[in-house]
Amino acid sequence: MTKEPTLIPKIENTLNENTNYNLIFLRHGQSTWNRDNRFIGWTDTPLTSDGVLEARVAGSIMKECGVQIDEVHTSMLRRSIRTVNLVLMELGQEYVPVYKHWRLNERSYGALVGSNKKEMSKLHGPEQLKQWRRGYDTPPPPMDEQHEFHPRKLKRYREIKDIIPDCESLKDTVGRSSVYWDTVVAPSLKAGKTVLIVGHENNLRSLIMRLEGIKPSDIINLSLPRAVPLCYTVDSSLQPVNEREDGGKDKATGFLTGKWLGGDEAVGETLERDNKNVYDVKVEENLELEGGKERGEKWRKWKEERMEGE
Amino acid sequence: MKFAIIAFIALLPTSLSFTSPSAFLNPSPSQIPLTSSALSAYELVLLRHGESTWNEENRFTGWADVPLSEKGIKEARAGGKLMKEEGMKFDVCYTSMLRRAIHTLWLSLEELDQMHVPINHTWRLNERHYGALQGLNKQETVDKHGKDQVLVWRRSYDIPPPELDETSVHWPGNDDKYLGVDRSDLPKTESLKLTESRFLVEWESTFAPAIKSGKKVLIAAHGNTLRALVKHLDGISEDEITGLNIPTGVPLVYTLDDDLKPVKHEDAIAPLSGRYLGNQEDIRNRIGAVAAQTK
Repeated sequence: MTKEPTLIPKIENTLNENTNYNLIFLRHGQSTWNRDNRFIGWTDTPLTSDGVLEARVAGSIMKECGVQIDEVHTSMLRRSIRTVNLVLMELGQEYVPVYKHWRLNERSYGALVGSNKKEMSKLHGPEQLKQWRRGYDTPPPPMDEQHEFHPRKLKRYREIKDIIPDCESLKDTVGRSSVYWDTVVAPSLKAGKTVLIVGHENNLRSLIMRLEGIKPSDIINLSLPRAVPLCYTVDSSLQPVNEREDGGKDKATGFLTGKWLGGDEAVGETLERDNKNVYDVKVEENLELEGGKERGEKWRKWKEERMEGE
Repeated sequence: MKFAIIAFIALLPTSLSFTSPSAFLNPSPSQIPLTSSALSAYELVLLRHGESTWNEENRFTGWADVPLSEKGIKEARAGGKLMKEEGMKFDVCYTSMLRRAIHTLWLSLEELDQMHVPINHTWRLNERHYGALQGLNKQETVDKHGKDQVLVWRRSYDIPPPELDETSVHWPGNDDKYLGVDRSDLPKTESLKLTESRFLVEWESTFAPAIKSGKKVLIAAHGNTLRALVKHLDGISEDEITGLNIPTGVPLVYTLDDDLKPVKHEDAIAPLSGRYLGNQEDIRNRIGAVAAQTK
């Protein structure tokens, strides 16, 4: 007999009256280097206009699903902060507290930062790239002090100058983000707040890995699309509650008990495109550029169709 | 270990309205040591939000949460650019619960390339509440009540507009964003005097201590709360403050001594000690323009 999970009672003045979700993950919208297919890490690239649209679509889907937030946690990087701002605007919740912390910054890509992903696949082979990008404890080669994009040079990181990594494996990122989860996010969740975490692919993978109990040998197969809200209800021991009838995982990645707002199919398509854009050395064109405005239209249309089904 | 202390602080109860314990986990880059010099100890920058959609429609706004107009968005970016040209760097920002001020702040920080700076919201920075006049067109109100009566409501120091009642959509008790605020603190109308006294609570509890701790502070707010602030800093009289126009979207920079008394800048326009950034002639002209709205 399975035990019924104990849900956390919502905080007295919660803004989230309509849904059971108390934890939402969202990856930022397209930034300039996403569009250019370059390794970013801590580099502070801004959103493109496509990225702004992605963020707004994410926010408006959340609004239509009745989601309201009590607080937001994000990184110190502008691509995620602007995504937060756009989402809050769509939700009509610009007034909620937003906490920005370096522990939610993207995983450091070391010496790869700035280089083109497809070129690196050609140079090092797709298998090596996959290990660096998605493997658990294979850090990329470290950045040296003189690297053009080393974050240690920036005043905003002056207090953590001595602990900024020169490169990180996913394991290192888990170590960095889990401190934030344990000291800040977990207490908020336990207090009954509905929390939105807007972050970066690998940093989110590091949090979700712990949340879902994904094994180091399996995590290499989990990628996350930009700007699709991933919603969880976590119980009093911060375990995800699986609301799927068959108790199975999501169809897009096969790893997650959380729900993609917008549906699994579109997510699956996006992940396939992202995969090709890095590893498929036979594909010369940059798939991030495919569509552009057309893609925006496609998103909007798909969103409308999906909302009809809600 | 540092994080054990932070973990303890993080477990303290928080309210929705203001300071979060996890503000402690944010790095605070510039802890300027207190100087023994009486001059230039602290800097404070004020920014009044730009034109809102209801400013455009000439309606009494108050706590109504309307967005910036296209013009207001441009003003916010322009303000950010001016601050960037001055090389300004902030440690913490404060703003109201109203989106026209929040968007102004967000846009300015984007232009400044300082989006990572922590932002804190407080209802105590909200614009003065306009009571039963909220939402009404200014000219129509003049036509209905007469120019003099409206002038009294707009520009008297301590006479508030008529109260609204709790069934009104404009009563903050009907707005979820104020769920964390004591019902007795939520206004049904406000004079400038009432606005000032509820603003000063936050000045004493939060803004002044932040400034004194050496943090560079940016406050993005509204016409009447900024009036309350400069009245307090510069000791401006009740009569003079009601007629004072603070132009929108123009950063107003104060230098404060060890006792948080303003140090008068050579470009200051009386009765303020602070200086506005940007074209000084334009600014002087604009200070005259706001008064024209209900002529």
